[in-house]
Amino acid sequence: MTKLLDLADIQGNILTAYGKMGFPHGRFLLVHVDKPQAGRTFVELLRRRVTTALRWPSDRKPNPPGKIYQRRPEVTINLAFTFWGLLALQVPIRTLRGLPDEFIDGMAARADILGDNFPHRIKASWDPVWNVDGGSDGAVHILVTLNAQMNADGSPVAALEDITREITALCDAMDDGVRLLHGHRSPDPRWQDLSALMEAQADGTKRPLPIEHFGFVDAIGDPVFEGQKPDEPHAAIGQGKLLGDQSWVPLATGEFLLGHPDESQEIAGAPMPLDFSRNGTFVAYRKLHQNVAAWNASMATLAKRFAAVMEVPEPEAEETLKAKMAGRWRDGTTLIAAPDFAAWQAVREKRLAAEKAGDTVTLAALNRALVDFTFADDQSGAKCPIGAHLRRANTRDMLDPHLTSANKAERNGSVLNNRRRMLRRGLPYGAHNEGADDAGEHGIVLLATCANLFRQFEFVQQQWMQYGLDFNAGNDTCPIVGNHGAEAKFVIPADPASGKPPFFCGGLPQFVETRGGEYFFTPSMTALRMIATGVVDPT
Amino acid sequence: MPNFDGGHYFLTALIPVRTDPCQDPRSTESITSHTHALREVLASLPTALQSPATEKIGVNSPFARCGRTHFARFAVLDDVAFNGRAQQDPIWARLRAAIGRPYPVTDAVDSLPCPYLIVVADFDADDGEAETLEGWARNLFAVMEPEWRAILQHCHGYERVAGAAGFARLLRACQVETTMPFNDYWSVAPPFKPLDLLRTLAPAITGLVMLLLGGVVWALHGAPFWRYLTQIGALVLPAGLLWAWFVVMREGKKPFPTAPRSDLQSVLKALYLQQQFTRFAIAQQGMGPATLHAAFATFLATHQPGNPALPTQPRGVVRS
Repeated sequence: MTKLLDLADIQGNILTAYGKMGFPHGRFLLVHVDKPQAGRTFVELLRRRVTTALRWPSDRKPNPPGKIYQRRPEVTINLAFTFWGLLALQVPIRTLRGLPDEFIDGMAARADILGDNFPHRIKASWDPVWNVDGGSDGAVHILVTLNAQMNADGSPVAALEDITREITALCDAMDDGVRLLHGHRSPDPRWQDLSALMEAQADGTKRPLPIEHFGFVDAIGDPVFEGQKPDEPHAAIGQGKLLGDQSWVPLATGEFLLGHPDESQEIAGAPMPLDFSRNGTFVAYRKLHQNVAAWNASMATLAKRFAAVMEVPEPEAEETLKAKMAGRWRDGTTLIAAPDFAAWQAVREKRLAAEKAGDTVTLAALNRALVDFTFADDQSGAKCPIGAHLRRANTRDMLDPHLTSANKAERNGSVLNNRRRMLRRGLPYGAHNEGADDAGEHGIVLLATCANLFRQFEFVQQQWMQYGLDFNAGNDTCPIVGNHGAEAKFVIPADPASGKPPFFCGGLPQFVETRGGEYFFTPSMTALRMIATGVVDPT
Repeated sequence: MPNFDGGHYFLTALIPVRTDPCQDPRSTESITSHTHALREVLASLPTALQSPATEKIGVNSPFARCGRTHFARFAVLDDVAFNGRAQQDPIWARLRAAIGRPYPVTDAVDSLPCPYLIVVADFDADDGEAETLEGWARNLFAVMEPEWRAILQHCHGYERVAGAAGFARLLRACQVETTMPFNDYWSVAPPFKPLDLLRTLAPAITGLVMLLLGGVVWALHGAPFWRYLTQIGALVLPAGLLWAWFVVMREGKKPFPTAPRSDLQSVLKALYLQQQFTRFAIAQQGMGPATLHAAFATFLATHQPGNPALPTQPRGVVRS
């Protein structure tokens, strides 16, 4: 029997990336609770409006009359809590002691593990709102995330302002019991505003783009787990887990939701009572500043050399370099599908022609190819370098020790990757001034969602992004999001048949820096009720 | 002998720690245990320089003064862990109870007579002889005598450490066999000579043939020759098997040969060259043959790949 999730009990931002679902604007607010009762009232008044994972009927295919359904909101609302927030709301100690160490520590305390104290100490570089080393009276307790639809001119719908006003009014009405924390480095210091990058259309309207500030199409290979997409039987292909027989199935639900069996086929320990944990999960909030100017300058410099060594024109060299670092070309086409510039151009032309002709079959096949691939045929990294961001973030079958085994029964598929997956949510923020300098506010807020921050988020960040041992790449870090010390380098292996030497990208500057972050618990609707009404009973 | 393998000596020593009270020489107020004081000494020993940040400190592990030691580690063993009760078979327990000799209600819990200082080290050696160990130990004592004295003053047998020779004898006296050395320097399989199975088993096979042939013919004819043959075969077969077992065990005990360039000096030079060559490759990629030729000549002159002694990565610096 297929796993049936209680969608109405699960917060909607876990299962769905709102940004891609017609909500290109976001606003994240941080709340501090001074008085427990006031904090619980705050949660109580908001919890009934929290957006759940229930599906909205499509506008084109309205639900039959008489049937109960969830209306598509103009603005989604979701809540999450830090450990100190749960303590401030008087969740019992017996429940709290079941929470994991890294969550109790909080992200700032884990800065050295995560590589966040680079290139500057987080005390200096993080937004003041995160209260690094600050007093407990400024501690982050509750995260309120709003995601909004947009008007034709690209601005967020008016409801976003309305709900923001309601929340600020709610805080003001709490008699100093609940405070909105200030100190986001954002146009308004009371919250972090986010927006997809927009493209102006000929008719004056705007269209949201699925790209981030470096220009790459983002968030393509999100994991798919059991029960998440019951109506899409093929969704797991390329996005679930690869079995030894090379077939794809969804990952275990427990990798992303507490209280469900995970990839070790057990229900992992979680805070008691089970009702408090079940259908909840953890999220790592990361505000990542992108040094667009450094990126552009570095790519241009390296491209000159790359062009000379590989004997290709400079624009082609620059595109190729970027793709080799990311593992995908700018439009998301993988290096596995299109290993060189000419192949990429062919894919682009194919997509363009299919779009023009309305050829949905070809388009669907092209979209499938974005996620449906393995690394078995590219073990030397001649197509996609071993240290590329794509291979580090989602190693697929690459780490299988029997990957090359002639006996296919010996192969293990993606088994060493299955417990390191994360659902990636979030949106870009700010606008870069075409790379004139990196002083401004522009980057991405990443919400990495997983059932075990230590095993999933922290492992990938520390071992796969900030280190290279698992890829036989020594101390090399991720060429894009890794920390780049004085001797940072990235190796682009060459196909031995091409007669070309490998290319070394040396002297990489820092491209991405953290500007804030925290670990949050995203409870189920049941747990929200229990927190708000003060009836968490661990016995 | 697993103490020695692949050109490396793997030392394990358990030195008993004193159990009488210990007075801190700096203060008459402070009376503590030797275990406590020993842990404090160990905790304040500098470790190897494991990151660029620690390289700047410049305070290196004292073991870095020895040019043969790859790895070294101290630990204090307070006691052996108690693993719970011995397994009991319920049927056997019933039977024992029935004859009035039941299992004891509680199992005896064993303990060490005193805490032990565990010393493990992995160093370059030509053989596994006792003198090889002592030679290394004497050299080690010569380069880190103050540290060893600070440590060993809390151990039994310290009075025997009059000098380097006494220290070496103490280590040897406290040595236990290393049963599972970890030797990572063979990146490919060492050149093995496969055991000649037929030759090893030849005596046993001869015995078996005598036994079977003699037995069958004796049963048919009954001539005494066949009986004698059977009896000799019955003796030769187990003797032959014993011989085969002995040969296999003797071969198994032979240590791996030394892996090429696996001594500490060569390993450090290799790490050094690897890093320098990477930098060279980054700097020179795309250059014309003439420039490259000249640059490589400079590289050879500067970094001297043929000279393992210098220039090289300093000992105790963990970098690659």
